[in-house]
Order: sequence, then C-alpha cells, then structure tokens
Amino acid sequence: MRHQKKTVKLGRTAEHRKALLANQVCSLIEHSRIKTTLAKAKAVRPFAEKMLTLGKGGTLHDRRNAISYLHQPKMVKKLFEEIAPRSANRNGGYTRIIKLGPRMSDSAKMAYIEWVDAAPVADDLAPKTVTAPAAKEAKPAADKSAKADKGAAETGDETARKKRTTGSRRNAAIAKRAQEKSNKANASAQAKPKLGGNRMKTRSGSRGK
Amino acid sequence: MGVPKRKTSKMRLRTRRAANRWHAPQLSRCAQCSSAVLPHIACPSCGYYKGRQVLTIEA
Repeated sequence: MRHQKKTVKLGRTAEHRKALLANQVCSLIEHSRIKTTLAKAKAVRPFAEKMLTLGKGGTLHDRRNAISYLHQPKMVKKLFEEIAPRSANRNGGYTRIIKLGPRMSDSAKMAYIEWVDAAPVADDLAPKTVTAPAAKEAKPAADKSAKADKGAAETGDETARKKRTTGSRRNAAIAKRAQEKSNKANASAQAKPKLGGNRMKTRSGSRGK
Repeated sequence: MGVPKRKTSKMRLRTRRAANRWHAPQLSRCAQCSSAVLPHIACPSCGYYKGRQVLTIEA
C-alpha cells in the first residue's frame, strides 16, 4: 500500500534528490518558468510553494531557513523581494504546471512549471526565432510597460496585462494561421497511416499465435 | 496437481486476447487551431492551452 509514502523519489538518493529540488527551485526563481519532466515538476511544486511561503513570512529567520534549503542567497533574495510579494493575496497554489506532451528522445512527459503571479514569460526559454514581426515588436513593449506598472495596484495590473497580451497574441495568431494549416495537413497525413499500420500489426500478431 | 481437462479452443483464446488489442489514443480538438491534440496538454501546433498562449511554435 502507498499509505503515508508521500515522497516522490525520482530514482535518487535523499541527498541527490534534495540537491535536485533545490536547483530546480533556484532555476524557477531565476527564470520564472522552467521546462522539465512532469514527474520532476510535480515533485518540485510542493517544495517551491513552501519556499514561497517562507518568502511571504519575510523574517530574517525565514530567510536563513530558505538559504539552508536552497544554498543560493542571491536566489533567496530574489524570491523574497520580487516573487513572494506578488503572491501576497494568494493562499497557496503559487505555481502552475502546464503539460507539454512526450519528449522526442525518450517519450518522457514534459511540462512547464511557472509562478502563477509572474508576468507571462512568453517564451524566454523557447528558441529565439519569432515567426511574426508584429509579435516581435509587441513583446518588448509589453515587457517595458509591465516593469513600469509594477508599482500599480494588482487588479489594475492584471487587466492591463490581459489587454496587452491579447493584442500581440492576435497578431501572432493571424500570422501563424496559414502555417498551421499546412502543419495540420502534414500532421493528419502522418497520423492516419500510423494508426492503420499499428492496427495491422496487432491483428497479424494475434493471428500468428 | 490440477491440470486443464480440455485444450483451450481457438475461440476462447481469441476472445481472451481480443481484450489486449491496441487502442488508438483518444485525441481532442484544439479550441484555437482545431488540430488534433492529446487532451490536457498545451497544443503542440499553436501553443495554446486553456485560452492563452503558453509557448511559441516554430514554423
């Protein structure tokens, strides 16, 4: 039975696992969104949220505790001063996991994990070739205004953010639509023969036996 | 020791094995670009999930 076996082990020893989780949380603090396997993302989530709770406490003791877990004072500073204050009105659920499907090499399920209250990091981690020039122009502008708005009230900030992002999104969507069509055609063309092929295999296999 | 009294008939064997057949993955449609996608996963062709852009897709 799995009763009370809560720890996600990730095939690592305790030290290795602790180091991994600390590194992942530090990366998450630094980049505000990281791409990792779904299993790791799920293991990181409770730890990341505990660290953020420490950040919301904000006392010297909390800070020292956080450093003792994360080993990176710089990242703890960023967590306490930039990330934790943004989640002041939220009671838990500080992170979001977005599933991305299987990885090419080993079919491991991949996922993004990100701070819910962080400004949308459109694609810092994706390769830098943006398809639509309109999107290219819109994104830096959005970033600048996001920085300017940091002091603004949270509710206002959120609505502003929505407005900004929809504009750039729409442009990007229009530019991409044509390419998507061709992609779709390719994808369906590839998918269908695959299904047929597999079915044939299984049938002939059972017949053989 | 207990042993089977009868040879398993072809029908019985095949009926049993029919349950083990390969099933195609259940795909859903992306709300944004209407391509086939695995459910609960950000659309790999347009990068949308739950009505917002979550990643950039290269052409």
